[in-house]
Parts: sequence; structure tokens; C-alpha cells
Amino acid sequence: MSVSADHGGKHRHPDVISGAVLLVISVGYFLLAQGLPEGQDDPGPAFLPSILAIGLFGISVFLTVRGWKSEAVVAVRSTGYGEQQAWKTGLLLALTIIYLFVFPRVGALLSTWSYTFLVAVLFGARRVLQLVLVPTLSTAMIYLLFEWGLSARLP
Amino acid sequence: MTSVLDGIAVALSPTLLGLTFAGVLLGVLVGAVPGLTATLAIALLLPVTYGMGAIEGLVMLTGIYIGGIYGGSVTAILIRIPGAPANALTMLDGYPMAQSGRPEAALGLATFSSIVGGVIGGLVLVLFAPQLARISLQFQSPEMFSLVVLALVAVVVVSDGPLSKGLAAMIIGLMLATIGLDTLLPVPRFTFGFSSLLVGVPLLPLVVGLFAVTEVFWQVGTPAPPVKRDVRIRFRRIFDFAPIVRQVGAKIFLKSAGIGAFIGTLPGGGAAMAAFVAYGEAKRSSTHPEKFGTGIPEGIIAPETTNNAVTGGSFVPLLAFGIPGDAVTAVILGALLIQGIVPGPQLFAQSATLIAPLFAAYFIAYVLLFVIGIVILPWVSRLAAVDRSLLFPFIAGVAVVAGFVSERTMFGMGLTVAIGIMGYAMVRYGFPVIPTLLGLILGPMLESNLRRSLIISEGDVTIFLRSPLSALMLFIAAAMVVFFAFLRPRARSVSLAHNEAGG
Repeated sequence: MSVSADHGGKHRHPDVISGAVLLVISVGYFLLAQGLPEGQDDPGPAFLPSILAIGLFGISVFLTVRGWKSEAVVAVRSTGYGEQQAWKTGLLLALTIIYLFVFPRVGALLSTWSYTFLVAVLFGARRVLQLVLVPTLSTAMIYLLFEWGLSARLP
Repeated sequence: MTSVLDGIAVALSPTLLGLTFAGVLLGVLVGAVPGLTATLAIALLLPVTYGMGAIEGLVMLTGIYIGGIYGGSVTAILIRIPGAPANALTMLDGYPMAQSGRPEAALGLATFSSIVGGVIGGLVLVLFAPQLARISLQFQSPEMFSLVVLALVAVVVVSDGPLSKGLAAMIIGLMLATIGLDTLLPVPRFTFGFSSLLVGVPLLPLVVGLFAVTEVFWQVGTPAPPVKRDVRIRFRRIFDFAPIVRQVGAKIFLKSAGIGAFIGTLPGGGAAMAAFVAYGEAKRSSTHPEKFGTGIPEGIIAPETTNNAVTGGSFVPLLAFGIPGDAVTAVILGALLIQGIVPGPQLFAQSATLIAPLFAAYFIAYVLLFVIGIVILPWVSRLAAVDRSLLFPFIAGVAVVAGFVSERTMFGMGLTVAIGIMGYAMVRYGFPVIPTLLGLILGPMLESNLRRSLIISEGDVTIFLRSPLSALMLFIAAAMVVFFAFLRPRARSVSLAHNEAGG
């Protein structure tokens, strides 16, 4: 399903976004590569990065232009980019970042139990037994696998 | 001959036999769960193989690969959800056959076809890999550069989604490969002061992030597919496939296995493409093509034989040249490199300690697959209906903690999550992730051979055209790009790109 173009950008084709991001990456990468020393007898450390940056720049311009010319869509989901509930993914991302933060401070066991509990909730677990068993068993297996199986020292 | 017997003896040792069994079983169980793939299982198991010897780790990863391809057929047949893109064709006839009251026959056909295909693929591996490895001795820097270019382009053109996005994904992988100390000069590149990046982007955070973390992020935002939980498998009917096999005959097995083994040896030649070709050929040569899609045995036999023959074929370029053909063999290559094993002729010189046991374990894995497939089939089928909320919390926890364990620092953990975010963004916007993985793994080989060639030629780029073999490979790569860019444009499809990521 699509609507006529909304040039306010609110409903711009997703390729415009991805193209613009890649464009920024390619320019930044190219500029960083120019700071590398030149080679004596060989093309040097900046040779391949420069080629890659130029290639990515060209592709990103192509994607951006193609996306701009394409019909705008009502929402990302109507392009067929999956019927994603982006808020859930965003929430999981935030939880994961918090998990990274607390993991060394609170310890592996408590932080992992809490994280897997919340992930289970996000995936739709609602029964009490499920909400207790899933994080408990997950944490136990993770701990056994890494601490005991691989002799890794978890916090 | 002695080394062959020694290899078999080593592969039959209790430790290796146990690891082979564990790998196959794990692969089958993981492949049988919707949303999980062999690639994901291998990604999560990679840190475990760090603590093992080379052959032990390889054998286990190979077992998972073999089991995972087969396991994906279970969900395809029982609940119409292919475990991997390679099983999508199996679903077309497997599901109708199961729904008509013959799930045991459908699963049995898939099991038997998998073993036949795998064994024939293994024979191709044993016969051709050593020969190709000898040929690789003739390859100088220009030829190796061109071979890597061909492999990367091949993976890009067969990946789903627009060609432009596949190329962008490949370039991103190559860019990631430039992080770290330069290949020829001791200067750091793009490390931003992180000493942990001096050795480059570590493989495990990349693999786990790109396949496990990305998958968790994707799955949480995707509504769970409706699952029929009323499929009953009756153990006493497990061998219902036997008379069907006798009736169908050997020709379709042999032809499908040949297609799979050949395509598997091609860079970028994955199981999904092979299954499509084999299914199409089986339908074309059938006396009743109109019945395909209604639940006929040939519709299961062709794709399942093929996609398992690919497993053997895909090891040929991997072991002979160090060129992986798909995500799984790319990870296996990474595991080899981590163990300090360099593919090529020198690898085959160590046949007694590594190659011969690996080949033997490959065939043993298929014997075990038959046993596992037949004996535990009624229980494996129940995994097809397992709730995601039971498994994905564990997968999420393992993936993130594995990132910590890989580098023994929070940097590894953060890198794993960051790569997972990148992978999710790629899939969300329709970019395939496998070219990124291959770009990272093959990037150093590409750059070192490129620069060495230019050093030899004193900057003259025609060195790549002066060698007939190099020129031919570059011409084929260019022809593929032209063909897929202008003559056969593909529709954009993020969902297909996501399926490919899990394949």
C-alpha cells in the first residue's frame, strides 16, 4: 500500500535513510583513510580503503536517489520490510545495553537472570512458572557452560 | 591407504564419535525449531570449540552443519515453516503429504534423501578436494586475488535483495576487515585507540552478533507464526518411506545429489540455490509435473538430496582454497584460522592428523543422522511447536555472554551487541548479512594478494589480465554483475534477506 509522495520526509522511502547513512560512512571512512601513511613500494594501507569508500559512496548515492524517486509509503511496514513491532526491538536493545552496564557491576548471575526474565516477557511469556523457570534454567545453563565448561571467569 | 585407515580409526575414537554425535544431534534439534538455524547454532557453539583441539572443533561444527540442514526439513514438513531457505522447496510437497495423513513417510523420505545426498556429496569432497588443492599450488597472487573477487561477487549475486545492497553489504565487510594492523605495514587502521582492535575485528563477536543477536532482535519484533500443535508421529510408521523409495527409483537421487555436489563446490553456491535447481529439474523431467506441490515424493526427494549434497561439495573450495561458499562454511573457515590451520595443499599434507579423520567423521555423521532421524523423530517433531519465549531468552543470554568470554573483556561484549545492532539495521533495511561476513573473512586475503600483485608489477594493474586464469575469473565476476544488474534485476525483499541471514 502506498500514498502519493510526502516530501516533508515523514514518509520517505527507507532506501533514502539507508543510503544517507552509508553515504556518511563512506565519506568518513575515506577521510580517515587519507590520514594513513603511504607505502614505499606497495600501494599502501590507504589503497584498498580508498577504493572501498569510493565504491560505497557510489552505491549510497544510487540508493538515496532511487529511494527519493520511489513512491513514499505510509509506514515502513507497508514496504514489505517485515511486519516489525519496532518498539519491542527498541525495548530489547535498551535492555541489552542496560545489561552490558550492570553485568560487571552486579555480577553475571543476577544480571543474566534479570535480563533473560525480561527477554522472556518481551517474547510473550506470561505464566508464572514459565517466568520463573526460563530465566533460572537459562542462567544456570549459561553459567555452567561458560564457568564450568570453558573455565571462563564471569563477574 | 594407511592414513585413510588411521583417519577412520581416529574418527571412531570415543571422543570424536561422541562429539560427532553431539554435533549432529544439536544441529537436528536446533534446525527443528522455527526461528533457529544451523548458522545460529554454530555461532553460539564457536566459543566452545575454542577450548577444543582443531579436529574436535571441526568435527563438531561439521556435525551441526549436517544436522541443521536436515532439521530444517522437520519444520518445513510439519508446520509449513522452513528451518532454512534450503528447506523451502521441501515444504511445497512435504507439508501437503503430512497433512494428508502421512507425516511419517514425508519425514522418512527427507531423512533418507538427506543421507543419500550427504554421502554422495562426501564422495565428491574426498575425490576432488585433494586434487583442487594441488591445482591451487599454481595460483599466484593475481590468481588468488581474482578468485576471491569471484567468490565475493558470486555470494553477492545469489543473495536476496537488490544487487546494490548486496554489494554494499560486501563492502561493509571488507571495510571491517581493514580494521587493525595493516597487512604489510605495521600501522594501525581505524582502531580509534582501542588496543583490542589491533588484531582486527575478532571473529566470534562478529559471528555471534551478526547471526545470534541480530536474530533475537528480529524475532522479538516479529509476531510469532501460528503453529499447529496437533501433528502426531507414529513410531511404527517410521519406515513408511521404504516402499516409496523403491517405487521412485535411484535416478532422481543421483541426479539431485550431482546437482547439489556441483553447486556446492562453486563459491556462493549455497543449499538454497541448489534446492531450487534440483526441484526445477525434477519437475521438468517428471512424467507428471502438474503433481508437484500436491504432496508427491519427488518434491521432497529432490531438494533434500540436493541440499545435503551441498554440504560435502561446499567443503571442497573451503579446504582446497580457503574460499567458503556460504555462512556456515565461512564460520568453519574462521574456526580453522583461529586454530592456526591454513586451508590449501599444506592442509592435505597433514592428512593423517586432520583431513582423513575429518572426512571419516563426515560420513559417520550421516550414519548417525540416520539413527537420530529415525529413532528420535517422534520427539524431534514436537520441537517444531516449541514456544519462542522458552528458547530466545537463553539464546540472548548466551550470545551476549559469549561476547564477553571471547575477549575476556566488556569490550567483546559491547562489540557483539554493536554488531548485532548493525546486523539488525541491515536486515531491517533489506541488506543481506552473509556478504558482510564473507567480506570480513576474505578481506585480508583480497588485500594482501592485491598489494603483492601490484608490488610485483610495480603498479601495473594489467597484471590481473596477463594471467589467463585470473582474467577469466575477473571476466566471469564482471559478467555475473552485468547479468544480475541489468538483465535480471531482482525485487527488493527484506524478509528474503532476513531468511538468507539465517541460512
